[in-house]
Amino acid sequence: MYSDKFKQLFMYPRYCRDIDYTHTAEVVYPEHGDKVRIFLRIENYVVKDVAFKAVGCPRVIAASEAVCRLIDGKHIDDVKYLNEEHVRDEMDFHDKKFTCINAPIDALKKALAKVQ
Amino acid sequence: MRVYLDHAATTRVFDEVAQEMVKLFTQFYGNASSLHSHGYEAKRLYEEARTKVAKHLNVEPEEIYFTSGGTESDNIAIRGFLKANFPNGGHIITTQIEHPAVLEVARQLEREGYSVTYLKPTIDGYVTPDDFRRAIRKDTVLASIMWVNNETGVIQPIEEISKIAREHGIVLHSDAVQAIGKIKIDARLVDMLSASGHKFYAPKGCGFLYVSKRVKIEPIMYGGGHERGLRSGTENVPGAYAMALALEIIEKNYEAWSEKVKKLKEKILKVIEDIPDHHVNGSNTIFSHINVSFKNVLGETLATALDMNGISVSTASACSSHHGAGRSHVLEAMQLEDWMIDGAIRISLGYDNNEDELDYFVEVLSKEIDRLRKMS
Repeated sequence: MYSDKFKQLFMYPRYCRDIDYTHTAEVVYPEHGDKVRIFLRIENYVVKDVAFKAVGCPRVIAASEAVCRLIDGKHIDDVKYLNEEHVRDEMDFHDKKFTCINAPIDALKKALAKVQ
Repeated sequence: MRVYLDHAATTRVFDEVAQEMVKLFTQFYGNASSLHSHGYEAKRLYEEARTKVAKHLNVEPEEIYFTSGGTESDNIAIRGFLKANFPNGGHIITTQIEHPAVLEVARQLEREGYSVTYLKPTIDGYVTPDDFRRAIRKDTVLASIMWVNNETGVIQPIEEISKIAREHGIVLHSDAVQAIGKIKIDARLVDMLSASGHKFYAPKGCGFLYVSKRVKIEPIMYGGGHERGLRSGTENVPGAYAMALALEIIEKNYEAWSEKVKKLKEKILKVIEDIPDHHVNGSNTIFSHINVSFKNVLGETLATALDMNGISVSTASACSSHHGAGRSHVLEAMQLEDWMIDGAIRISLGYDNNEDELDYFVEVLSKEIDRLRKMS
C-alpha cells in the first residue's frame, strides 16, 4: 500500500526531536485520533530549524516528516505556499480520500500565523 | 523475517490439504451431481467429507450443509429459519459484538419488520446468560450468539445460554467461525452453527452450516436443489474435502499444537506486561488471540510499523477513510476507554508459528512502541 518514500518518512523520521523553537502550534483532530505539534525556529523570516511531535495514523506521521523536510531552511514567504499537493508528492502518496495528511499543514499554518 | 500473526483473518492452507486438493482439481473433477463414474467418484469424496465434518462436530452427516463460507452460512441459518417458521415477524436476540455477517442480517430483518435485541457485552467482552434471560420475550423465536468473538477472542457462555434457550423453546444459532479448529466444541449445544474453511487451514470460498434435524429451514436462494435443497450451486468437492482433511489434521495434532500456541501466547503476554500503559482487551480468551492496546500509539500506526518490519497483525480501529473501517464496534460495545479502542491491535497465532518468529516479534513490538511513543 505504501511507497518506499512513504516508508522512509514513517519509519526513519529525522525531524521528530526536541529543538529550541521560536514558534509552535498544535492541531488535534479527535475524530481521527490525530494530534500534531510543529516547532519552528525562525530567524530573519527563515526557517532555521523545524521539528514535530505526533500521535496519529501512519499518514499523519509521514506527512509531518514530509512537511518538515519541505520547509527546513526556506524563507517563510515560500513556506506559506506549501499545500497538500506538495506534501503528497513528497510522500509519494496520492490517495485523496485520506484527508488526515492536512493535520501537519494546518499546524504549520497556525504556527506561521503567529510570526510577526 | 516475515511473520504472520493474523490467523483470525485467514490461515495458510495446510501443505497436505493443498496437495490433496490438486488431485481433486485434476483427477477427481467430476460434477458430484452427474450420473457417471466421474460424478460418482466426486460424490463419494464429497459425502466422505460430510461424514468427517459431522463426526468432528458430534452431529449427523445429514445435519451438515456445505456452503461458500461463514457469511453465507449465517444468512441461510437466520433468514432460512425465519422464512420457514416465522415469515411474518418475531423477536430475535443477538449481540452487539457479532460479525457483520450476523449484525447486518439482523439490521435488515429490523427493516423488514422483525424486532431485534442486541445484547451488550461486559467490559471483559462477553454477554451474560442473565442478560440473555432478561431479553427473552413471549415472541422471541431465534437467538444468534457467536461462539468466539473474532476481534477479542473472548469465548461466549454458549453452554449456559443454550440451557436458557432450550428452557424457553428458542432456537439458537451460533457463528462459530473463530471456534472451529481451535477449541473443542459440542455443536449439539446449539441448533444451528456456521463455520468457514479458511479460518482452519482450508481454502477460502468454502464453509459449512450445521442445522439440527429438529429445525425446519428453507432455502434463501434457488437453483438446482443441491445440498438437499437448502443450498443450490454445484458442489465444491475440493473445498469440502479440504475442510474435512484440515479438521482431521488438527484433531490428530491438537494436544501438541494447542499447547505450543498457548506457550507462545504466554510468552507474548509476558513481554507485554513489561510495557507500561497497556491494556489487554477481553478476558477468558481463546488460546490463539491477544487483543491489546498501548497508550499514545494508534493501533493502525503500530500495525503499519510492524508490517514494515515484516510482521502481519491486524487492527480493528483504523482511520475512517479506510474502506469499511472506523472504530471497532466490538471494543466500543465493551465501553473501553478511547485510547484502548484507538490503540488496539489483534495478534492471532496459528499452529504454524514458532519460537524464532515470536522472539523476533516481541523484540520488534517493544522497539516500535518505544519509537512511536517518543514521537508523541
